[in-house]
Amino acid sequence: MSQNEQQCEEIRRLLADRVAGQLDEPAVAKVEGHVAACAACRSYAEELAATDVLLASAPSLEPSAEFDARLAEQLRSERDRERAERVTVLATLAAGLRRLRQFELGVAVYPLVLLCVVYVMWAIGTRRDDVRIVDGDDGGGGVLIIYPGRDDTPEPASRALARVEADAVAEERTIAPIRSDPYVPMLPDPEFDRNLIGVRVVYVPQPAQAEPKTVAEFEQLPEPDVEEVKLPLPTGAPGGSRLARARFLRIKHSRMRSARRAISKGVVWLIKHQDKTGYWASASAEYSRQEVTAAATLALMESGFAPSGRSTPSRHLRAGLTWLLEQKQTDGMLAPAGARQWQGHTMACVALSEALRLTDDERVRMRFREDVQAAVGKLAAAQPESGAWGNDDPELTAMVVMAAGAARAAGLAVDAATHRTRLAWLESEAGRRLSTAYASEGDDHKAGPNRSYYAIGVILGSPDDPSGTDDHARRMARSLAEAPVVWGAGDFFRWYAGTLAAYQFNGGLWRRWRGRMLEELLRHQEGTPPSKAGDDPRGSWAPHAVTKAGGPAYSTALAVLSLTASYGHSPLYGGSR
Amino acid sequence: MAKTDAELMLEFQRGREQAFAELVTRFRGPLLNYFYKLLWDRQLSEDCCQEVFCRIFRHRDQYVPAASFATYLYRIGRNLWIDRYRARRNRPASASLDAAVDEDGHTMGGLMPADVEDPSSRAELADEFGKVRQALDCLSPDLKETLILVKYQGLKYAEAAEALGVPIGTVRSRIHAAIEQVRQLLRVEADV
Repeated sequence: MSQNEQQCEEIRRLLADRVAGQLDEPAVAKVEGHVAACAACRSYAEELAATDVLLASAPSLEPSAEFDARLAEQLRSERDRERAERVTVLATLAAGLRRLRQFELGVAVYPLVLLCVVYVMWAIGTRRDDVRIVDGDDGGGGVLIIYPGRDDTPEPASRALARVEADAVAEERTIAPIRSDPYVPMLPDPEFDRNLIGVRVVYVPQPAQAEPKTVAEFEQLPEPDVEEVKLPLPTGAPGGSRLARARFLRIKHSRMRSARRAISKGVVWLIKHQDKTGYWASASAEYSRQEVTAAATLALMESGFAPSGRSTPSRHLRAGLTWLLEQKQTDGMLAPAGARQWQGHTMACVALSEALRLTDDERVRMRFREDVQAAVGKLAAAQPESGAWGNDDPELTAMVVMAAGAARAAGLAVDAATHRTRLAWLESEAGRRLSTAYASEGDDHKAGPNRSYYAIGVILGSPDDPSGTDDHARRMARSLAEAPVVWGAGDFFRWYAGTLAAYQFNGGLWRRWRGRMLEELLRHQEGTPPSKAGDDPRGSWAPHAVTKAGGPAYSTALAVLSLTASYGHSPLYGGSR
Repeated sequence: MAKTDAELMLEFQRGREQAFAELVTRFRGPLLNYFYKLLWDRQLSEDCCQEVFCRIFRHRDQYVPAASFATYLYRIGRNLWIDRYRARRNRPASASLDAAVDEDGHTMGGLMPADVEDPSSRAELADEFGKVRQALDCLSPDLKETLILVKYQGLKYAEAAEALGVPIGTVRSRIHAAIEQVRQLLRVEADV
């Protein structure tokens, strides 16, 4: 078949689509252009036009006058039938109970009933969570106790014995509090040992002895020997999946049901909207896929999923991280050239550093550690003399500060970048100007976003030199407290940055910020089912004006990050200081 | 703003029967015409239409708003048609294309009662109606039901594919085949 014939074939198929009412505007123009130039297709089109006229002449009926009345009658019958069914079920139950009372069922049934009751009681009695949450402040820097670990705890002699031992431990041992770490190491605080994320009780094997059969025998058993094992903070060493698990459990056991549900719905939406090649799409060329994918993978990790996990979100997370790593450009950047290249690159640094920290398998870590280190190194190398990245861009500078913190937590070398970031920025003219301006601008909406970026930059920017930052950070926190939390004011990244900043102070500032943020985020999460077959928006957050270019995946990822910020980290300053 | 079909169905699931009444108002006409083009009998079409609404009423808890309500409705309608007529090959005998009045006293297969039409316009209309009915009836059942869903009920290819349980490509090729057959029919008539 020649090329012309092929083209005519295609046009004839499109002509048939037009008769079926399925042709869109560009295709119509293409068809008309071809038909005007091709006599054979023109003749065919005329015949199809006659066909269309004939098909369109098919008659259309209106329901008869009796239609509604007959339907109403049928529906009434349906309703009566449903009621009758319910009554029948109740009557059957009642009859069963009567028979039971009259001993008509026979003696054989009773052992069965008794067995069921015993089983239920046994099941309730032996039910034991592997984790308990002792958490004074649900959203703040609460205390998480993990015991006993299921993964590598030697199996006790029996399930019953395990229960006895666990209860004894719970009552008698003083369980040290844990702190899951923030992005950057915390300020020194004698109350906490920040190298702990939990306390695990390991059962020392007991000498062989007869298994106790009665409660009295249980009571006579010697106290089990327990050994307290401090779980080291997974900084650049295997063991990070425990941190992910701690985050997951805190969210799972959170008393704030609405936030918990919003997070899980957001995660579900994200994993449903990942491209099969691994990325999450943006709504325009301004935001790269890399930036959106980095935000989405970070959201999954902050929701408690580790790259090495076996759950569905973990599988999606791995696909996203793999895709991100494959995007490395020839110049070492992780995002393609464009208006937000540095934002994309920096966000990818945050996500990959976090992934490195949460990855247990040393072989996997070795495989991508070098790439992440090189990418993080580019941030420091590209820092301008002013100290702030992107021509005093507060958003990008805040991102870089966060990336530096995440990289440090992953054990990467970023000291130079970390120091220079904040100190240089603070000392710069731009920093001074921003600092004073945003501290006195009241509730101006335009100032709100920058204030958030600046606050997070100041507060997290210099972990190794906390003494000099304290006053400054407090000033920024006060300023942040006045910043409006209004839907549509600033973009979603501002919410995330503001949330992280406010959270560092815990206490009243955090409670106010969190209350307003939760109210807005919960109110604006999509909950309406789709009207047509196609995309289901439920669980996502629609981007408002400022972040429209990022698309729903970007806004949803950042909303999830804002909601999860307090579950995976402990505040720098706490509420008591 | 008017509520979507899916929203109304979800309200009905929660117990608001008024929402179901609104759905019936929206879809009784289209559904009736869907059956009418398959069966060419007003009474049978109305019976089928009512049965579909009763089935939705009965099994309202099974509706999941994963697809459009229209798709869901036509899928139930199609299943009913297959159960009652197509599978048993028990379709009503095709009326003579030339007959203005069929056996049960209705013109054009029950399109309208014989005594309310102007006889002068009836013959002309009957001729046109006879042609389109002949054109649709000459198609195989698969082609015919696909053409009805897309051309007359206004479903997109994807929606029709969902309602019929076939791939979109199959819907498109069926539509092309159906339209080509009708075109050929017209050409033969013109030659004669």
